[in-house]
Amino acid sequence: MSVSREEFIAKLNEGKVLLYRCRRCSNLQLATIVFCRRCNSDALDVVEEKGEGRVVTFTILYVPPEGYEGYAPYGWAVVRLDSGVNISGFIDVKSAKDLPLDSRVRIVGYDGRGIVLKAEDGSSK
Amino acid sequence: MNRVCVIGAGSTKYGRLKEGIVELAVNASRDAIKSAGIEARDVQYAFISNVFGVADRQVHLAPVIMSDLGLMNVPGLTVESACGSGSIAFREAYANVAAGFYDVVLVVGVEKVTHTGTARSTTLFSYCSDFFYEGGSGVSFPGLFASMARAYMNRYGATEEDLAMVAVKNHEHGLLNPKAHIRKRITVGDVLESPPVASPLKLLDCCPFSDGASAVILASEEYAKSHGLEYVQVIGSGRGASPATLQDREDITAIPSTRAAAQQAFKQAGIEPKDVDFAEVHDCFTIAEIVDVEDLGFFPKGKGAEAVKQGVTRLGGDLPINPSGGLKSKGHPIGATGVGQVAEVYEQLLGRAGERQVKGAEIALTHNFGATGASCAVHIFRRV
Repeated sequence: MSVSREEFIAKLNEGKVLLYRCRRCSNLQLATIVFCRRCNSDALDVVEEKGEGRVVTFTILYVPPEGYEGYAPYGWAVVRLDSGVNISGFIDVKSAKDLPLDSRVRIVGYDGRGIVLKAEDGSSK
Repeated sequence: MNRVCVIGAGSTKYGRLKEGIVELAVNASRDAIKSAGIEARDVQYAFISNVFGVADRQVHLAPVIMSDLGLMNVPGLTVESACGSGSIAFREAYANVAAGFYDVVLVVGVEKVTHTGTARSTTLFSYCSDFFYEGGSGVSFPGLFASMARAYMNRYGATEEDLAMVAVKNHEHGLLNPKAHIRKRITVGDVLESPPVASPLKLLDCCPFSDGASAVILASEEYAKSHGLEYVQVIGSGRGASPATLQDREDITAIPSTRAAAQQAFKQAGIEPKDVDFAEVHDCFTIAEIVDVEDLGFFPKGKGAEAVKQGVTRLGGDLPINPSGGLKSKGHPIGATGVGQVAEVYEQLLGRAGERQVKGAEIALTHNFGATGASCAVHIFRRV
Protein backbone atom coordinates (compact mmCIF):
# COMPACT_ATOMS: atom_id res chain seq x y z
CA MET A 1 0.00 0.00 0.00
CA SER A 2 1.25 3.47 -0.66
CA VAL A 3 0.97 6.39 1.72
CA SER A 4 -0.61 9.64 0.51
CA ARG A 5 0.75 12.97 1.69
CA GLU A 6 -2.57 13.47 3.48
CA GLU A 7 -2.09 10.25 5.48
CA PHE A 8 1.53 11.17 6.22
CA ILE A 9 0.39 14.52 7.62
CA ALA A 10 -2.43 12.92 9.64
CA LYS A 11 0.16 10.76 11.43
CA LEU A 12 2.41 13.77 12.09
CA ASN A 13 -0.57 15.25 13.91
CA GLU A 14 -0.52 12.18 16.16
CA GLY A 15 3.18 12.77 16.79
CA LYS A 16 4.10 9.83 14.56
CA VAL A 17 6.04 9.37 11.33
CA LEU A 18 5.17 6.88 8.59
CA LEU A 19 8.17 5.05 7.17
CA TYR A 20 8.63 2.47 4.46
CA ARG A 21 10.68 -0.62 5.19
CA CYS A 22 12.03 -2.26 2.05
CA ARG A 23 11.09 -5.95 1.80
CA ARG A 24 14.20 -6.64 -0.28
CA CYS A 25 16.96 -4.82 1.61
CA SER A 26 15.29 -3.74 4.91
CA ASN A 27 16.17 -0.07 4.33
CA LEU A 28 13.98 2.36 6.27
CA GLN A 29 12.99 5.71 4.73
CA LEU A 30 10.30 8.37 5.02
CA ALA A 31 7.05 7.24 3.40
CA THR A 32 7.14 10.26 1.06
CA ILE A 33 9.82 8.51 -1.06
CA VAL A 34 8.22 5.93 -3.36
CA PHE A 35 11.12 3.65 -4.37
CA CYS A 36 13.68 2.26 -1.96
CA ARG A 37 16.58 4.73 -1.94
CA ARG A 38 19.07 1.91 -1.48
CA CYS A 39 17.91 -0.84 -3.86
CA ASN A 40 15.08 0.84 -5.84
CA SER A 41 12.53 -1.82 -4.95
CA ASP A 42 8.92 -0.75 -4.70
CA ALA A 43 8.03 -3.64 -2.40
CA LEU A 44 7.72 -1.52 0.71
CA ASP A 45 5.94 -2.13 3.99
CA VAL A 46 4.51 0.77 5.97
CA VAL A 47 5.95 1.16 9.47
CA GLU A 48 4.78 3.64 12.08
CA GLU A 49 7.40 5.31 14.24
CA LYS A 50 7.08 7.50 17.32
CA GLY A 51 8.35 10.89 16.15
CA GLU A 52 11.18 11.17 18.64
CA GLY A 53 14.86 11.68 18.09
CA ARG A 54 17.92 13.89 18.44
CA VAL A 55 18.99 17.20 16.88
CA VAL A 56 21.53 16.76 14.07
CA THR A 57 21.79 20.46 13.25
CA PHE A 58 19.61 23.56 13.45
CA THR A 59 19.36 27.29 12.94
CA ILE A 60 17.55 30.13 14.67
CA LEU A 61 15.76 32.33 12.12
CA TYR A 62 15.68 36.06 12.72
CA VAL A 63 14.58 37.11 9.19
CA PRO A 64 11.55 34.93 8.48
CA PRO A 65 9.69 34.17 5.27
CA GLU A 66 6.11 35.39 4.98
CA GLY A 67 3.73 33.84 7.48
CA TYR A 68 6.35 33.34 10.18
CA GLU A 69 6.75 36.99 11.26
CA GLY A 70 4.87 36.42 14.50
CA TYR A 71 7.14 33.56 15.58
CA ALA A 72 10.62 35.06 14.95
CA PRO A 73 13.07 34.29 16.30
CA TYR A 74 12.34 30.57 16.01
CA GLY A 75 14.23 27.41 15.16
CA TRP A 76 14.31 24.90 12.34
CA ALA A 77 16.08 21.63 12.98
CA VAL A 78 17.18 18.45 11.23
CA VAL A 79 16.41 15.52 13.53
CA ARG A 80 17.58 11.91 13.51
CA LEU A 81 14.62 9.83 14.61
CA ASP A 82 15.28 6.86 16.86
CA SER A 83 14.88 4.59 13.81
CA GLY A 84 17.85 6.36 12.20
CA VAL A 85 15.68 8.10 9.60
CA ASN A 86 16.03 11.89 9.40
CA ILE A 87 13.26 14.49 9.29
CA SER A 88 13.20 18.25 9.80
CA GLY A 89 10.84 20.94 10.96
CA PHE A 90 9.93 24.11 12.81
CA ILE A 91 10.84 24.28 16.50
CA ASP A 92 9.78 26.98 18.89
CA VAL A 93 13.06 27.88 20.55
CA LYS A 94 14.29 31.46 20.78
CA SER A 95 18.02 31.01 21.19
CA ALA A 96 20.75 28.61 20.08
CA LYS A 97 21.51 28.01 23.77
CA ASP A 98 18.09 26.38 24.14
CA LEU A 99 18.77 23.61 21.63
CA PRO A 100 22.12 21.84 22.10
CA LEU A 101 23.17 19.51 19.27
CA ASP A 102 22.12 15.94 20.06
CA SER A 103 19.37 17.07 22.45
CA ARG A 104 16.08 15.17 22.35
CA VAL A 105 13.09 16.52 20.43
CA ARG A 106 9.77 15.12 19.29
CA ILE A 107 7.20 15.82 16.62
CA VAL A 108 4.04 17.41 17.98
CA GLY A 109 2.06 18.03 14.81
CA TYR A 110 1.66 19.67 11.43
CA ASP A 111 0.02 23.07 11.02
CA GLY A 112 0.52 26.45 9.34
CA ARG A 113 4.14 26.37 10.52
CA GLY A 114 4.75 23.02 8.78
CA ILE A 115 6.15 20.03 10.65
CA VAL A 116 6.33 21.16 14.27
CA LEU A 117 8.93 19.83 16.70
CA LYS A 118 9.26 20.38 20.42
CA ALA A 119 12.33 20.17 22.63
CA GLU A 120 11.88 17.64 25.41
CA ASP A 121 12.03 19.38 28.76
CA GLY A 122 15.43 19.37 30.41
CA SER A 123 16.56 16.57 28.14
CA SER A 124 19.77 17.89 26.71
CA LYS A 125 22.12 14.95 26.14
CA MET B 1 31.21 15.38 -30.08
CA ASN B 2 32.09 18.73 -31.55
CA ARG B 3 34.49 20.91 -29.58
CA VAL B 4 32.72 23.88 -28.04
CA CYS B 5 33.93 27.36 -27.18
CA VAL B 6 32.68 30.66 -25.80
CA ILE B 7 32.94 33.46 -28.35
CA GLY B 8 31.30 36.35 -26.53
CA ALA B 9 29.98 37.58 -23.19
CA GLY B 10 28.05 40.50 -21.78
CA SER B 11 26.64 41.50 -18.41
CA THR B 12 24.57 44.29 -16.97
CA LYS B 13 25.60 45.72 -13.64
CA TYR B 14 24.26 43.59 -10.77
CA GLY B 15 22.31 45.33 -8.03
CA ARG B 16 19.02 46.99 -7.33
CA LEU B 17 18.22 47.99 -10.91
CA LYS B 18 15.43 50.06 -12.46
CA GLU B 19 15.18 48.10 -15.71
CA GLY B 20 12.65 45.29 -16.05
CA ILE B 21 13.44 41.64 -16.63
CA VAL B 22 13.19 41.76 -20.44
CA GLU B 23 15.27 44.91 -20.85
CA LEU B 24 18.01 43.46 -18.62
CA ALA B 25 18.11 40.20 -20.59
CA VAL B 26 18.10 42.01 -23.93
CA ASN B 27 20.89 44.39 -22.92
CA ALA B 28 23.18 41.58 -21.75
CA SER B 29 22.40 39.54 -24.89
CA ARG B 30 23.11 42.51 -27.18
CA ASP B 31 26.47 43.09 -25.47
CA ALA B 32 27.36 39.39 -25.76
CA ILE B 33 26.48 39.30 -29.46
CA LYS B 34 28.51 42.43 -30.11
CA SER B 35 31.50 41.16 -28.15
CA ALA B 36 31.44 37.94 -30.20
CA GLY B 37 31.85 39.86 -33.46
CA ILE B 38 28.90 38.07 -35.05
CA GLU B 39 25.58 39.29 -36.44
CA ALA B 40 22.53 38.83 -34.22
CA ARG B 41 21.03 36.61 -36.94
CA ASP B 42 23.91 34.16 -36.58
CA VAL B 43 22.33 32.99 -33.28
CA GLN B 44 20.41 29.78 -34.00
CA TYR B 45 18.94 28.94 -30.59
CA ALA B 46 18.74 30.40 -27.10
CA PHE B 47 18.61 29.08 -23.55
CA ILE B 48 17.11 31.52 -21.08
CA SER B 49 17.98 31.00 -17.43
CA ASN B 50 15.42 32.44 -15.02
CA VAL B 51 13.60 31.48 -11.84
CA PHE B 52 11.20 34.24 -10.79
CA GLY B 53 9.96 35.77 -14.04
CA VAL B 54 6.52 35.66 -12.53
CA ALA B 55 7.68 38.23 -9.93
CA ASP B 56 8.20 40.73 -12.76
CA ARG B 57 5.06 39.59 -14.61
CA GLN B 58 6.86 37.87 -17.48
CA VAL B 59 7.18 34.17 -18.13
CA HIS B 60 7.59 32.54 -21.59
CA LEU B 61 10.70 34.66 -21.75
CA ALA B 62 12.40 33.20 -24.82
CA PRO B 63 10.09 34.57 -27.53
CA VAL B 64 9.86 37.95 -25.79
CA ILE B 65 13.63 38.34 -25.43
CA MET B 66 14.33 37.00 -28.92
CA SER B 67 11.72 39.29 -30.47
CA ASP B 68 13.31 42.30 -28.79
CA LEU B 69 16.67 41.18 -30.19
CA GLY B 70 15.07 41.29 -33.64
CA LEU B 71 15.27 37.48 -33.84
CA MET B 72 11.55 36.67 -34.06
CA ASN B 73 12.18 33.36 -35.82
CA VAL B 74 14.86 32.01 -33.45
CA PRO B 75 13.53 29.51 -30.89
CA GLY B 76 14.53 29.30 -27.27
CA LEU B 77 13.74 27.60 -23.99
CA THR B 78 13.69 28.69 -20.36
CA VAL B 79 15.73 26.58 -17.94
CA GLU B 80 14.92 26.66 -14.21
CA SER B 81 17.18 25.01 -11.66
CA ALA B 82 16.94 27.52 -8.81
CA CYS B 83 20.21 29.41 -8.22
CA GLY B 84 22.00 26.92 -10.51
CA SER B 85 19.86 27.76 -13.54
CA GLY B 86 22.64 29.68 -15.28
CA SER B 87 25.28 26.97 -15.29
CA ILE B 88 22.69 24.33 -16.09
CA ALA B 89 21.38 26.36 -19.05
CA PHE B 90 25.00 26.71 -20.14
CA ARG B 91 25.41 22.94 -19.89
CA GLU B 92 22.34 22.40 -22.10
CA ALA B 93 23.72 24.85 -24.65
CA TYR B 94 27.08 23.08 -24.50
CA ALA B 95 25.39 19.72 -25.11
CA ASN B 96 23.44 21.06 -28.08
CA VAL B 97 26.50 22.55 -29.73
CA ALA B 98 28.65 19.50 -28.93
CA ALA B 99 25.98 17.26 -30.46
CA GLY B 100 25.93 19.33 -33.63
CA PHE B 101 22.31 20.52 -33.40
CA TYR B 102 23.44 24.16 -33.58
CA ASP B 103 26.66 26.05 -34.34
CA VAL B 104 25.87 29.24 -32.42
CA VAL B 105 23.74 29.39 -29.24
CA LEU B 106 22.93 32.28 -26.90
CA VAL B 107 22.65 31.64 -23.16
CA VAL B 108 21.16 34.52 -21.22
CA GLY B 109 20.43 34.46 -17.51
CA VAL B 110 18.30 37.10 -15.85
CA GLU B 111 16.62 37.83 -12.53
CA LYS B 112 14.53 40.69 -11.23
CA VAL B 113 13.45 40.40 -7.59
CA THR B 114 14.60 43.35 -5.50
CA HIS B 115 11.34 45.27 -6.07
CA THR B 116 9.51 42.57 -4.11
CA GLY B 117 11.31 43.36 -0.83
CA THR B 118 13.10 41.13 1.67
CA ALA B 119 10.14 39.17 3.06
CA ARG B 120 8.70 38.33 -0.37
CA SER B 121 12.12 37.51 -1.84
CA THR B 122 12.91 35.28 1.16
CA THR B 123 9.60 33.50 0.59
CA LEU B 124 10.07 33.14 -3.18
CA PHE B 125 13.55 31.71 -2.70
CA SER B 126 12.22 29.23 -0.12
CA TYR B 127 10.15 27.67 -2.94
CA CYS B 128 13.48 26.38 -4.31
CA SER B 129 13.79 23.99 -1.33
CA ASP B 130 11.78 20.78 -0.86
CA PHE B 131 8.95 22.94 0.42
CA PHE B 132 7.13 20.34 2.53
CA TYR B 133 10.11 19.69 4.79
CA GLU B 134 12.05 22.94 4.47
CA GLY B 135 10.51 26.23 3.22
CA GLY B 136 7.06 25.11 4.32
CA SER B 137 8.39 24.36 7.79
CA GLY B 138 9.73 27.88 8.23
CA VAL B 139 13.30 27.70 7.03
CA SER B 140 14.80 30.26 4.64
CA PHE B 141 17.88 29.72 2.47
CA PRO B 142 20.07 31.53 4.98
CA GLY B 143 18.61 29.10 7.53
CA LEU B 144 19.46 26.04 5.45
CA PHE B 145 23.05 27.16 4.94
CA ALA B 146 23.22 28.17 8.61
CA SER B 147 22.28 24.58 9.47
CA MET B 148 25.13 23.36 7.25
CA ALA B 149 27.43 25.91 8.91
CA ARG B 150 26.55 24.74 12.42
CA ALA B 151 27.23 21.12 11.48
CA TYR B 152 30.50 22.09 9.75
CA MET B 153 31.74 24.24 12.63
CA ASN B 154 30.87 21.51 15.12
CA ARG B 155 32.74 18.84 13.14
CA TYR B 156 35.80 20.73 11.93
CA GLY B 157 36.21 23.42 14.57
CA ALA B 158 35.79 26.32 12.12
CA THR B 159 34.71 29.58 13.75
CA GLU B 160 32.43 32.47 12.87
CA GLU B 161 35.61 34.49 12.28
CA ASP B 162 36.76 31.91 9.72
CA LEU B 163 33.48 32.25 7.83
CA ALA B 164 33.75 36.03 7.98
CA MET B 165 37.14 35.89 6.22
CA VAL B 166 35.39 34.62 3.08
CA ALA B 167 33.16 37.69 3.03
CA VAL B 168 36.10 40.03 3.63
CA LYS B 169 38.06 38.48 0.74
CA ASN B 170 35.20 38.50 -1.74
CA HIS B 171 34.36 42.11 -0.91
CA GLU B 172 38.01 43.01 -1.57
CA HIS B 173 37.67 41.42 -5.00
CA GLY B 174 34.30 43.04 -5.68
CA LEU B 175 35.79 46.47 -5.04
CA LEU B 176 37.74 45.90 -8.28
CA ASN B 177 34.66 44.94 -10.29
CA PRO B 178 32.72 47.93 -11.67
CA LYS B 179 29.63 45.77 -12.20
CA ALA B 180 29.49 44.37 -8.65
CA HIS B 181 26.38 44.92 -6.52
CA ILE B 182 28.12 45.71 -3.23
CA ARG B 183 31.43 47.52 -3.64
CA LYS B 184 32.43 48.06 -0.07
CA ARG B 185 35.44 47.02 1.99
CA ILE B 186 34.44 45.17 5.15
CA THR B 187 36.30 43.74 8.14
CA VAL B 188 35.86 40.55 10.12
CA GLY B 189 34.46 42.75 12.90
CA ASP B 190 31.85 44.20 10.52
CA VAL B 191 30.67 40.69 9.65
CA LEU B 192 30.53 39.53 13.28
CA GLU B 193 28.64 42.65 14.34
CA SER B 194 26.12 42.58 11.48
CA PRO B 195 22.58 41.59 12.47
CA PRO B 196 21.78 37.87 12.75
CA VAL B 197 19.78 36.47 9.82
CA ALA B 198 19.80 32.76 10.69
CA SER B 199 22.30 31.80 13.35
CA PRO B 200 25.20 31.27 13.06
CA LEU B 201 24.97 33.34 9.83
CA LYS B 202 24.76 37.11 9.96
CA LEU B 203 23.80 39.63 7.32
CA LEU B 204 27.35 39.98 5.97
CA ASP B 205 27.69 36.18 5.68
CA CYS B 206 24.88 36.32 3.10
CA CYS B 207 24.89 37.36 -0.53
CA PRO B 208 22.42 40.13 -1.42
CA PHE B 209 19.21 39.78 -3.38
CA SER B 210 20.19 41.22 -6.77
CA ASP B 211 18.74 42.09 -10.15
CA GLY B 212 20.85 41.63 -13.26
CA ALA B 213 21.53 39.73 -16.44
CA SER B 214 24.50 38.00 -18.05
CA ALA B 215 24.81 36.43 -21.47
CA VAL B 216 27.35 34.33 -23.32
CA ILE B 217 27.56 32.99 -26.87
CA LEU B 218 28.66 29.40 -27.44
CA ALA B 219 29.86 28.13 -30.80
CA SER B 220 31.48 25.06 -32.22
CA GLU B 221 35.24 25.55 -32.33
CA GLU B 222 35.07 24.88 -36.06
CA TYR B 223 32.64 27.78 -36.50
CA ALA B 224 34.78 30.10 -34.37
CA LYS B 225 37.95 29.20 -36.29
CA SER B 226 36.41 29.44 -39.72
CA HIS B 227 34.99 32.88 -38.87
CA GLY B 228 38.24 34.12 -37.33
CA LEU B 229 36.64 34.74 -33.90
CA GLU B 230 38.39 35.08 -30.54
CA TYR B 231 37.34 32.42 -28.08
CA VAL B 232 38.00 30.36 -24.97
CA GLN B 233 37.57 26.59 -25.06
CA VAL B 234 35.15 24.63 -22.90
CA ILE B 235 37.26 21.61 -21.97
CA GLY B 236 35.09 20.01 -19.29
CA SER B 237 31.40 19.92 -18.41
CA GLY B 238 29.82 18.04 -15.51
CA ARG B 239 26.44 17.73 -13.84
CA GLY B 240 25.53 16.41 -10.44
CA ALA B 241 22.51 15.93 -8.21
CA SER B 242 22.05 15.71 -4.45
CA PRO B 243 19.10 14.78 -2.24
CA ALA B 244 16.75 17.78 -2.38
CA THR B 245 16.59 18.05 1.41
CA LEU B 246 19.36 18.49 3.95
CA GLN B 247 17.76 15.77 6.08
CA ASP B 248 18.50 13.21 3.35
CA ARG B 249 22.21 14.01 3.04
CA GLU B 250 24.56 11.44 4.46
CA ASP B 251 26.94 14.29 5.29
CA ILE B 252 25.44 17.73 5.88
CA THR B 253 28.90 19.34 5.60
CA ALA B 254 29.40 18.35 1.94
CA ILE B 255 27.48 18.73 -1.31
CA PRO B 256 27.45 15.51 -3.36
CA SER B 257 26.37 17.22 -6.61
CA THR B 258 29.50 19.38 -6.56
CA ARG B 259 31.71 16.32 -6.20
CA ALA B 260 29.96 14.47 -9.03
CA ALA B 261 29.95 17.44 -11.42
CA ALA B 262 33.59 18.25 -10.67
CA GLN B 263 34.73 14.66 -11.17
CA GLN B 264 33.05 14.52 -14.59
CA ALA B 265 34.43 17.90 -15.67
CA PHE B 266 37.98 17.14 -14.53
CA LYS B 267 37.89 13.73 -16.21
CA GLN B 268 36.70 15.17 -19.50
CA ALA B 269 39.27 17.98 -19.35
CA GLY B 270 42.04 15.51 -18.51
CA ILE B 271 43.31 17.77 -15.73
CA GLU B 272 43.39 17.81 -11.94
CA PRO B 273 42.28 20.45 -9.44
CA LYS B 274 45.91 21.62 -9.03
CA ASP B 275 45.98 22.61 -12.72
CA VAL B 276 43.25 25.26 -12.26
CA ASP B 277 44.50 28.87 -12.16
CA PHE B 278 41.35 30.40 -10.65
CA ALA B 279 37.71 29.50 -9.99
CA GLU B 280 34.35 31.19 -9.71
CA VAL B 281 32.40 29.19 -7.11
CA HIS B 282 28.93 29.37 -5.59
CA ASP B 283 29.43 31.47 -2.44
CA CYS B 284 25.78 32.31 -1.72
CA PHE B 285 26.83 32.25 1.93
CA THR B 286 30.31 32.29 3.44
CA ILE B 287 30.00 28.64 4.54
CA ALA B 288 29.18 27.65 0.95
CA GLU B 289 32.56 28.80 -0.42
CA ILE B 290 34.38 26.81 2.27
CA VAL B 291 32.39 23.66 1.46
CA ASP B 292 32.71 24.26 -2.32
CA VAL B 293 36.49 24.50 -2.42
CA GLU B 294 36.70 21.21 -0.53
CA ASP B 295 34.12 19.38 -2.65
CA LEU B 296 35.81 20.64 -5.85
CA GLY B 297 39.02 18.95 -4.70
CA PHE B 298 41.06 22.12 -4.20
CA PHE B 299 41.54 21.52 -0.47
CA PRO B 300 41.07 18.49 1.83
CA LYS B 301 37.79 18.15 3.73
CA GLY B 302 37.80 20.42 6.78
CA LYS B 303 40.63 22.60 5.44
CA GLY B 304 38.65 25.08 3.31
CA ALA B 305 38.57 27.70 6.06
CA GLU B 306 42.32 27.38 6.57
CA ALA B 307 42.92 28.21 2.88
CA VAL B 308 41.00 31.46 3.22
CA LYS B 309 42.81 32.40 6.44
CA GLN B 310 46.19 31.86 4.80
CA GLY B 311 45.29 34.04 1.80
CA VAL B 312 45.66 31.20 -0.71
CA THR B 313 42.31 32.08 -2.31
CA ARG B 314 42.82 35.85 -2.55
CA LEU B 315 43.67 37.60 -5.79
CA GLY B 316 47.44 37.23 -5.96
CA GLY B 317 47.28 33.97 -3.95
CA ASP B 318 48.03 30.52 -5.38
CA LEU B 319 44.39 29.82 -6.26
CA PRO B 320 42.20 32.94 -6.46
CA ILE B 321 38.57 32.03 -5.70
CA ASN B 322 35.88 34.40 -6.94
CA PRO B 323 38.04 37.18 -8.39
CA SER B 324 34.78 38.77 -9.63
CA GLY B 325 33.67 39.28 -6.02
CA GLY B 326 31.50 36.17 -6.16
CA LEU B 327 27.84 36.03 -5.27
CA LYS B 328 28.74 37.68 -1.97
CA SER B 329 29.93 41.00 -3.42
CA LYS B 330 29.30 40.91 -7.16
CA GLY B 331 25.73 39.92 -6.36
CA HIS B 332 23.35 37.02 -6.95
CA PRO B 333 20.62 37.62 -9.54
CA ILE B 334 19.93 33.93 -9.37
CA GLY B 335 19.10 33.17 -13.01
CA ALA B 336 22.10 35.21 -14.15
CA THR B 337 24.72 34.01 -11.68
CA GLY B 338 25.95 30.86 -13.44
CA VAL B 339 26.10 32.65 -16.79
CA GLY B 340 27.89 35.59 -15.16
CA GLN B 341 30.57 33.23 -13.89
CA VAL B 342 31.25 32.15 -17.48
CA ALA B 343 31.30 35.79 -18.58
CA GLU B 344 33.93 36.45 -15.89
CA VAL B 345 36.04 33.52 -17.07
CA TYR B 346 35.77 34.71 -20.69
CA GLU B 347 37.00 38.18 -19.71
CA GLN B 348 39.76 36.81 -17.50
CA LEU B 349 41.11 34.27 -19.98
CA LEU B 350 41.18 36.91 -22.71
CA GLY B 351 43.05 39.28 -20.37
CA ARG B 352 40.22 41.83 -20.24
CA ALA B 353 39.40 41.76 -16.52
CA GLY B 354 41.06 45.07 -15.67
CA GLU B 355 42.11 45.59 -12.06
CA ARG B 356 40.91 42.14 -10.97
CA GLN B 357 42.83 40.33 -13.72
CA VAL B 358 44.29 36.98 -12.61
CA LYS B 359 47.69 37.31 -14.21
CA GLY B 360 48.71 34.57 -16.61
CA ALA B 361 45.50 32.56 -16.11
CA GLU B 362 45.13 29.73 -18.63
CA ILE B 363 42.65 27.33 -17.01
CA ALA B 364 39.56 28.38 -15.07
CA LEU B 365 36.64 26.58 -13.44
CA THR B 366 33.05 27.65 -12.79
CA HIS B 367 30.87 26.04 -10.13
CA ASN B 368 27.23 26.96 -9.58
CA PHE B 369 24.44 25.10 -7.82
CA GLY B 370 20.73 25.28 -7.18
CA ALA B 371 19.24 25.45 -3.66
CA THR B 372 21.50 23.72 -1.10
CA GLY B 373 23.30 22.03 -3.97
CA ALA B 374 20.45 19.78 -5.04
CA SER B 375 21.51 20.50 -8.64
CA CYS B 376 24.96 21.54 -9.78
CA ALA B 377 27.06 22.12 -12.87
CA VAL B 378 30.82 22.55 -13.15
CA HIS B 379 32.64 23.75 -16.26
CA ILE B 380 36.33 24.05 -17.07
CA PHE B 381 37.71 26.50 -19.64
CA ARG B 382 41.05 27.00 -21.32
CA ARG B 383 42.68 29.95 -23.02
CA VAL B 384 43.62 29.09 -26.59
